[in-house]
Amino acid sequence: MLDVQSITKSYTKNPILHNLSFSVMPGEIIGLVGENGAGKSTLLRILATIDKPDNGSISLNNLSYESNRKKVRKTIGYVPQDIAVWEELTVKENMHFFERLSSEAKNDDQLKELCLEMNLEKWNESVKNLSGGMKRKLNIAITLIHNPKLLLLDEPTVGIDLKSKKEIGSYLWKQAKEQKRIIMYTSHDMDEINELCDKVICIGKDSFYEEILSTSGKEIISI
Amino acid sequence: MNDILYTRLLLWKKKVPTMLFWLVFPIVGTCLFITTASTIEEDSRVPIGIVLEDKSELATELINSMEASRLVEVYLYSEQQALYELEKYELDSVFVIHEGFENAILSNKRNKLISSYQTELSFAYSPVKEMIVSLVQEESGRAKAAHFILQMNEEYGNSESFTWNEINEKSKQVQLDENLLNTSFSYSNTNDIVENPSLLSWNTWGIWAIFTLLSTLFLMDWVIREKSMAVTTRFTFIKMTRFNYYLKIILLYFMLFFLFDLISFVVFAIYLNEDFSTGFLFVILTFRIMLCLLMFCLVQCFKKISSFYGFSIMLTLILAVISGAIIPIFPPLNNLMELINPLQAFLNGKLTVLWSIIGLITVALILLRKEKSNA
Ligand SMILES: Nc1ncnc2c1ncn2[C@@H]1O[C@H](COP(=O)(O)OP(=O)(O)OP(=O)(O)O)[C@@H](O)[C@H]1O
Ligand SMILES: [Mg+2]
Repeated sequence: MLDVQSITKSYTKNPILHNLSFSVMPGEIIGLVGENGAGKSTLLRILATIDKPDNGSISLNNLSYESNRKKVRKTIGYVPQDIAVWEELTVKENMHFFERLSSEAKNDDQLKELCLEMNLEKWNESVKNLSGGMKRKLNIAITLIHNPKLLLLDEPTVGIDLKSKKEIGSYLWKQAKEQKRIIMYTSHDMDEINELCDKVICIGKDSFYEEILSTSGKEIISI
Repeated sequence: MNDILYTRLLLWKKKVPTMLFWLVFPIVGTCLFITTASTIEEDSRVPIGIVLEDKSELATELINSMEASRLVEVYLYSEQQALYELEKYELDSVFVIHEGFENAILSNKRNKLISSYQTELSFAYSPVKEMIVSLVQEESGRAKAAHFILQMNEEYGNSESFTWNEINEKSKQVQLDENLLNTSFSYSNTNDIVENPSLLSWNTWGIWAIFTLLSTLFLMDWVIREKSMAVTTRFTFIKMTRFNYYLKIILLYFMLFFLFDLISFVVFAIYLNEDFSTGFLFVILTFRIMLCLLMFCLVQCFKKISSFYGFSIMLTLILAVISGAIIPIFPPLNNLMELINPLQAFLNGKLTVLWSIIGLITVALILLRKEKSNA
């Protein structure tokens, strides 16, 4: 279980995240919505241990972020908003590169399988020759190498075609439900959010988003 | 370490030509530089004619010293032919070493040992004359000492006897060891300083050090590239600490560099007749450790790759000038320079201890800071 207790974060005087509390159960998919600059990426980075909150506490499966940072980190997968892959390497080389550095060993077949599940077939293609959508798929595939318990994705489906979007969506859904992973992701695609998420966290107490989402009958946590 | 090697090889594979270029750059650069420099030096020697009437050892020795000075190209002619060549301006000047040269020297007669011819175009006449005079003085001093010992030997009937040559060689060795010969000769009209040939052998490694500095800097650019890349966020989630990760990469680069240093060592020994001494390997080793550490620190200060390249070239030029690798500096400054200039210890043929330690401490601090910001 991911438990967030009254965290606050500010870069300047105005706080971006203010006294935020929520908890997520294993197997749940959480959508993060909010306007540009609301602080979605900031929250994900904090949950990914990349940034630290100014106040408050976070724990994952009863491991506190404060005292067990290294251990917690091993169970987190983070897909950055920017595509974080080696442009000059091929898909295969990228997968092997990060497999070597990950705490979980996977063989060539397993890595290839991971890409295929994401519908990324160009195994030996150099990344710089891939389309934007394919790069996004690789961006996700790399993060899944070490089987994270908590998967945080920052706008993972931007620029991905509808068909692939659905494929990735159903893959993530499967991952959450079958592997009991916690998945949190941001998106500006409300249809996608509606279809996939169990709960929606709306950052910035934005009535605009709340109204749109209210029709779906999903649980909305407005913070 | 295997994982780091594997992952680095993946990245290196993509830029083999560039990496190879910069790795062999110091070797090829130095060889080209030295070869070109010595060709130019060869071409710029002043041709002088020598008429050797005296066939004594002392006279032969004098000619050898003249040739060894690298200032002049000596042509042995008969007097008639020498003057003919001089008239055609094929020779700068002509010196005649008269019959009885050795005897005159040994009996302290200093007049009319050598006579000379010059033309209105003999621009190098005076410096060459000066050089010959000082060589004669050197040679004659030595010869007289040898002669004196031989005489004593004969007079007192010592059972161990030396030959003239043995004594001459020995006294030369003593002079060399005590650095008495390290005077420079200069042409008054060209400002060219030519060092004693025994010092020139250092220049190969001096020039190599400068080229290596540049190539090391350019090969460290990955630090800036990777710092600005989105992939770095992924390094938060790898199995090793950031401290270890970077330390291992530095180590790997160190090994790669040192491999090419060893190749330079062999190439220079074969191609440029450099000394093949194992002791010097340690000098190279410490120099390389220092370079890897310090350059890694330096590259941290940059965000933009273009400004880093510009800085690298500037730094290389500045150090080349103050190192005296290309322009020799005065020995008394050397100790001070070792404190200021990280290359100086190496140029003096010493182990680079001080700057290696400074590098080590700085790298440790930088990595600890990285580690902390990542925690
Ligand atoms: N390192 C930083 N230093 C200062 N301010 C920052 C920093 N990172 C983010 N911010 C500010 O924090 C606010 C939230 O940024 P964040 O990236 O979390 O927004 P977001 O909700 O992800 O927006 P988007 O939908 O555009 O991705 C923005 O106003 C941004 O300018
Ligand atoms: Mg964002």
